[in-house]
Amino acid sequence: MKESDFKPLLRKYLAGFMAALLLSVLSYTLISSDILPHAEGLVMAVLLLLAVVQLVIQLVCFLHLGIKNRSRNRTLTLAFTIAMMLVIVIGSLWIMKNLDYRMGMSSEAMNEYMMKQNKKGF
Amino acid sequence: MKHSVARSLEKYDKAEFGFWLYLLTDIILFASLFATYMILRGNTASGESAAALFDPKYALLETVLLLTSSFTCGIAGLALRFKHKRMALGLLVTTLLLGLAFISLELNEFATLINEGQSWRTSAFLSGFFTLVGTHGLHIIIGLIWGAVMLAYIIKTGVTSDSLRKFTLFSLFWHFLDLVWIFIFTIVYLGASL
Repeated sequence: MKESDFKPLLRKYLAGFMAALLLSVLSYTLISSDILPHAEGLVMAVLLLLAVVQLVIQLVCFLHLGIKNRSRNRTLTLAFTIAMMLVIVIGSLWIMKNLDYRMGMSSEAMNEYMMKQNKKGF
Repeated sequence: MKHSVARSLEKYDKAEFGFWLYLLTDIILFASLFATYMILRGNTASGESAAALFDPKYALLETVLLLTSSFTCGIAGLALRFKHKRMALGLLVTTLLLGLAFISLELNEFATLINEGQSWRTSAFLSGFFTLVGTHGLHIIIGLIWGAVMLAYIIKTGVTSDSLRKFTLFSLFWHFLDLVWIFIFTIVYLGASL
């Protein structure tokens, strides 16, 4: 590699670092101050969005992920793993929430719930 | 000569991709631990909740330390590729020191919690917390040992295609740990007050 390539690559790392730092501090500020309305779901969604943006920035700037030839296989396998990860996380949360909901019912409520399900047909 | 360059490039790509596949399986490990933590978060066994135990400011400090060490590690790899050996070594030492500061803060947090009687035996929520964050911390400790070995290796053999390849794998591992930490920071520490 040529010496003249050093600076542009360094700048890429620096840009990624500054962006990541900014996003982390922004997430923290959103929590510590009362800028956002008191809606837990909304705040968590915004925080997760910021985390995902930071993830993508770091993947591109630090791990040099892209769709061009040399990093293509890494990007594809990562995309597959992220799909599996989402199945595990969302699936687990869904199943356990549902189980929790059913276990929390009184026996009358459970009866009523079963009757309703029966009417729908299995 | 040309033939051997091609062969070392092939070796480099294979090693990098193989290690990448290991990191992907690690994502699945962390995904399971995250799912466990999120499910058990409310099960505090009438003890303290996440909001009372975790300090987002402390976690932000940890985040900045780890992020900076990920950055210096990346530049160390860059310097190595351009054969700036002294710069690379200096940056690698910085990376390790920042990593050491990070793990010290984390162990200090664990010790404080346990001294207050909030150990992993207290509630399902804390079991989930210690398993998730502790697994990440264990990876960091392994990374620090690996980094120290890399340091000795580069000092001994200099900048060769072998040391470059080995360093790339270490650097992938270190960046990966910072990526996992972003989500621990967001879900565990910032999510605590929600």
